[in-house]
Amino acid sequence: MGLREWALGGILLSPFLIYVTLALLLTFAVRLLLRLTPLGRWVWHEALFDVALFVCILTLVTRTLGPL
Amino acid sequence: MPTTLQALLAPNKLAVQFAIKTLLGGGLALWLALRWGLEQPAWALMTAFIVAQPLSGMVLQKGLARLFGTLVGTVMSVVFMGLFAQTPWLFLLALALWLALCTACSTLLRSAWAYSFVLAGYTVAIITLPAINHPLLVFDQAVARCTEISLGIICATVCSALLWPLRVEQQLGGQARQAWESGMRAASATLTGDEQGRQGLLEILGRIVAVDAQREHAWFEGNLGRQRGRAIRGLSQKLLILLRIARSVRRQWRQLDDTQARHMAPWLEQVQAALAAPEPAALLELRQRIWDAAHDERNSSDEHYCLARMTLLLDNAMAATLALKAVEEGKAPSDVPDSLAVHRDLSLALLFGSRSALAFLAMASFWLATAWTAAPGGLVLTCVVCSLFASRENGAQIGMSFLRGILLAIPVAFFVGQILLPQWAGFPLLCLGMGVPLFFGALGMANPKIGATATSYCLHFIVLVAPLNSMNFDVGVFLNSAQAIVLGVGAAVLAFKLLVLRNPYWHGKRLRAATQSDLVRLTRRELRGAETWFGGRMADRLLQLARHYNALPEPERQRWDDGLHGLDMGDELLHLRMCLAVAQVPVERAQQAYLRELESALAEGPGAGREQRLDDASARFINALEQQPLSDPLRLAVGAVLQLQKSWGKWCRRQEEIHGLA
Repeated sequence: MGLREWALGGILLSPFLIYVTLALLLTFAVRLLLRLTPLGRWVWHEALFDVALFVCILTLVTRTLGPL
Repeated sequence: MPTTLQALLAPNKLAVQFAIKTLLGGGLALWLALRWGLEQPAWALMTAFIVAQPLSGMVLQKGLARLFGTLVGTVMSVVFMGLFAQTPWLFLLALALWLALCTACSTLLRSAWAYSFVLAGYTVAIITLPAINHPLLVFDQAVARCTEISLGIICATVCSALLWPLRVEQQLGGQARQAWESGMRAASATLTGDEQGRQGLLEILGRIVAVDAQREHAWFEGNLGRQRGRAIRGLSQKLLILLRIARSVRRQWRQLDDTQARHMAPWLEQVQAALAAPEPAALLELRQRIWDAAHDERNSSDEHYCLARMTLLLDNAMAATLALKAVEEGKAPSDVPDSLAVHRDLSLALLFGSRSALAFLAMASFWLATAWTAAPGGLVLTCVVCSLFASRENGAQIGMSFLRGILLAIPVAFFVGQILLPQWAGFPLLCLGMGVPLFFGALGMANPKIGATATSYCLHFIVLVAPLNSMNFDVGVFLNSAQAIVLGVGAAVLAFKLLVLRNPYWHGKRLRAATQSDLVRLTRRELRGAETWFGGRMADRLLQLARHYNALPEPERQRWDDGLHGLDMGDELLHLRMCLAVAQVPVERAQQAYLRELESALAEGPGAGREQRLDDASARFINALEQQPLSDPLRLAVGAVLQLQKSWGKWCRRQEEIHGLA
């Protein structure tokens, strides 16, 4: 695993921050897709679903981008 | 956003005065804190902004509540640190429990003083979390925070009392007159019919509760304020009685058949006209005429009850007018009734409390798992948001506007704190750098629509700039604390969003159960003060039901009617007991038997097939009453027994309809 800090103008940023931002954007996109298709009808507790979705996507992002 | 632009660029005079007051109070607090070398002067400045309120009585009340809460929280933080300094998990668990307890108490208290409990809760987090690695310093920290917060409160109070003082008690007069006017309107609308009555009832109940809430603030504004506060209590009670009697006239009216109704119609019209333009002399004259008409031998008993209740209505309209006069003149009557009781909900409070504790524990686990040094800052904010907005209906919404304020504060604070201030030195330039953004923030705070966002913007701007005697500028620390703040508030908003406690069915059921238990108690309770006790609690409940009213689908809206039926039952019961108390007839045993029967029926609750539950008892009691020598209160008591029986039957039939629909 190559979790390395990101240097931004001399400040070291946690790589996780980037992953979180990326996962957030992806979650928004997936949510939009779900809302446009009939799939969104099956969601029971929207907030809970969103959080779960975010955690899943964050895991995927970290697993894919981590080793790079 | 036009509202925001208007609030910031074209503020009204009051908003500018408020902003100047707040800024001067904050500046004074900051200067003194820097001059005396306090550890974190930002706290003094922040407190001055937190307690800033448009009216001076409110500032004093909020400041005192904050001071009490802070003192208790300070003591508790030293205790917690002393007990659990070596065991972080136990310490966090104890802190979560304390937070839950304080949130629950503040939800239960339902008055402006609830703020003390909120403060007692999160002060412990503010003091202990940053000191967790240096437990020995906790006492110094506690003293420092307490001093800074007290300094902020004193400066804000002095400024708001000296500069353009706006007093609560002066506004109370106007608000009381509005409440009185809408009370008269609502009473008159109730006489006409149900649909108009419902909207009017909601409006007036809201007004009564709002005016009554101001009493606590007026108490701090000298003798006149205190007198007005006491007079308001009288007015609230009189208005509630007025509404109660108007509804009872309407109920009695529905018993009349067509010929009787035609016969009575002119009287009803005159009463409505008199309520629409209430003149004491006209009211008195009309009351006398109706009273004479009521004693006409040719009247049927239903007509007699109806007219007698109309005279009662007019009597109370006059009493309400007198009470309004007492408020406007600032002279409290000698016999002030008890203050309005509020509906307290223990299980809801416990739920809110555990939600705060859960959010805190989740954030604390994150902190301990990551060992992130900036996390305590976020943790403190989780506590603050969770306990401050726990009891609000729209906690998640307020939390979101809080978050918006933070996102606005971060770039501004970065510009001021990291780019401007390193090049500037001295207090005047510090004031300039912080004052301009804070002035606009204070302008926003004066506007209720964007108040939450603006307050959060001001507070986080101060936290992020963190003015000190010897400033240290570090972009890394700034970014870390900005992230922690966003994360902390985000966790709180998430808790609000995930644990939604807004199920209208559940709320409706709980309010119904509470109403029922009140009715049961009303059969035994001492009559003195029963009026404000029952009236205040029912007003509170009906307002809560109404809040859920719009969220419900059409057929489910009967829950609100359910509340109204409860109110009607209570009204008739009160009326009956008062009539019996006035009549003073020796029917103790029959009365006891009837009330016990009523009590058991109420305890069981209305339901399908229980309509006839009260018929036998009512017949026996009426029989006993009619054995006694005839008098006016006695006749009214008989009418009330009949009405109770009818209201009960109606309530039961309503249950059938609801069940039929479900």
